[in-house]
Amino acid sequence: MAKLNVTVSIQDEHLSQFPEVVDGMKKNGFEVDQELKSLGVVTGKIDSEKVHALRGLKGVGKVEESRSYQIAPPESEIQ
Amino acid sequence: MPKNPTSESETSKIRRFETGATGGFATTRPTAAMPGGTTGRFLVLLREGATDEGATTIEKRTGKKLTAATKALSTLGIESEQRPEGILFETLGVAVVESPPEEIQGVMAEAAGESSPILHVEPERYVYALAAPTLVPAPLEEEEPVLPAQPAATPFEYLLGYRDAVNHVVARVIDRSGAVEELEGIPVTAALTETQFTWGLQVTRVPSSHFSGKGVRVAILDTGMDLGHPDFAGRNIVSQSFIAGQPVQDGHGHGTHCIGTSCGPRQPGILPRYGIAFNAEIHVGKVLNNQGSGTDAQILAGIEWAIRNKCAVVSMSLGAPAQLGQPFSPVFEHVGRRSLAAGTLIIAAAGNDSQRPQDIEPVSHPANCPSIMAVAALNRNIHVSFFSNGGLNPNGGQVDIAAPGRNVRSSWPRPMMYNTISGTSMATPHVAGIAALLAEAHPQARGLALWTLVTQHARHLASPSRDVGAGLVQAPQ
Repeated sequence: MAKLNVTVSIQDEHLSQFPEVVDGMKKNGFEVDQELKSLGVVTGKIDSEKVHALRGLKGVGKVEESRSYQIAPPESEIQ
Repeated sequence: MPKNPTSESETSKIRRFETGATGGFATTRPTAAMPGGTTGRFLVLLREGATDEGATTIEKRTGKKLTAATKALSTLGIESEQRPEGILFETLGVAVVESPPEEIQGVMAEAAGESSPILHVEPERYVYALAAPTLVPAPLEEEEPVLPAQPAATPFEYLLGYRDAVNHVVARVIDRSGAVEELEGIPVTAALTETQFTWGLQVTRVPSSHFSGKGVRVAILDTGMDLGHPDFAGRNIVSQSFIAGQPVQDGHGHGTHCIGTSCGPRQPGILPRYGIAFNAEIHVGKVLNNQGSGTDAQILAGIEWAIRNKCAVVSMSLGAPAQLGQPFSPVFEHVGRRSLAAGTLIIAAAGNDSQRPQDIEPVSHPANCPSIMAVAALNRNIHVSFFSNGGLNPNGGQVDIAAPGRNVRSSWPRPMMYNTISGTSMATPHVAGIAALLAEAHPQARGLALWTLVTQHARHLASPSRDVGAGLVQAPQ
């Protein structure tokens, strides 16, 4: 079972129940990393097999795998 | 462009014209045909409605007879013993006269009078056809046009040269500010020299702006900042690192460069000025480590921090390449929408994955989100930079605006202090800085309203919106 780094958006209409939604996610195996209330986003880890169930939870909007970013080295002409 | 001669009679006409390369005038003083060289003749601008009076004045002062252009043109390119000493372009109100300097001074003296029919006198220049642009991408595409050493080969080209010289004279008299070259209709100094201001500040009209970003908070989410850089001494700086184990201090350079462009000082330690919103309250969010990498979690944390700190503008010169057909990130679109609703405009780089003209890549994530403003890069000649991505993906993946992104000089961590690099990363903070100026100018406009101001003020360009969006960003005046 692989653990995925994910970012999760909370549905607009459930933003006022942010803590309850996050609790529900935790009960379903979500390990919280950051709760970004102003953005309505939670970041964390979850087993890849449990992502589908996570999406079905009340108040959960979109679930995406976390991306990495890399800019060019400092000596590059184009950054 | 001059036509290649096909018939023998055309060829022989041209040859005769070239040997008497004084355009049908009596030869007194041939001048070397060098770029910028003068012919020894003078252009005289006559007051509108006073053409006849002006012509008479010239004839009196120089002793030369002026021939009406309609008659004189027929003598061009043909050897003749009777060539005119002067030509009067009646419709233009301009005379061209062959005269030694002493005689011309007499004409110039006439120009001093207020009701004089003589407005202006100027030496006639040689002008040349410009070389055709090559299709090879950088470094050739932003070079100054090449002037070949041979003069125009046909009478037609010669007349175009006359016309251009006259337009130049008229422009100078009207403008009173010397030669004004235009690129895409944007007045710029002749060679975009960077003595006072970087070229990017010049073409975005920053030097003449009355705004400085005073009272506006700008967040730059990047590799941090060289907090000890002397150009930022005394500035209001709030900073936060989102990289575990690394302080805000910039160990890469990218962040310092972007902060310089968006918020650099009005009077840097070494000219040229490179910064736009010199009174903005700088918020440095380190979301990329000193090797230049970061994750969604760190970037989102930085955006959240910027919103909580009531930043009107967030500048993100970062992204991940997107594939053709790939939809934008719903999470980042959600974030972009929430930010706009909270009064924060997120501005991101369109990405540098392209190799124009043969390969154009789509706008990168997260700039490809509809609620995040995507910025393309332009060269000094106001054409899209070869690396700048295009709005290829439908439903959001568009370029929203363009800004200077080629050879951009800005601050860099000590000891280098300054560096000149290229990228949509450099274009993005131009837009962020100008958004800060607009935010100061319009205190009620935030979020989507500020977005609208940025795009409304942009200078429309001939390039497709796929490449430049609304056009070249412009500072409020």
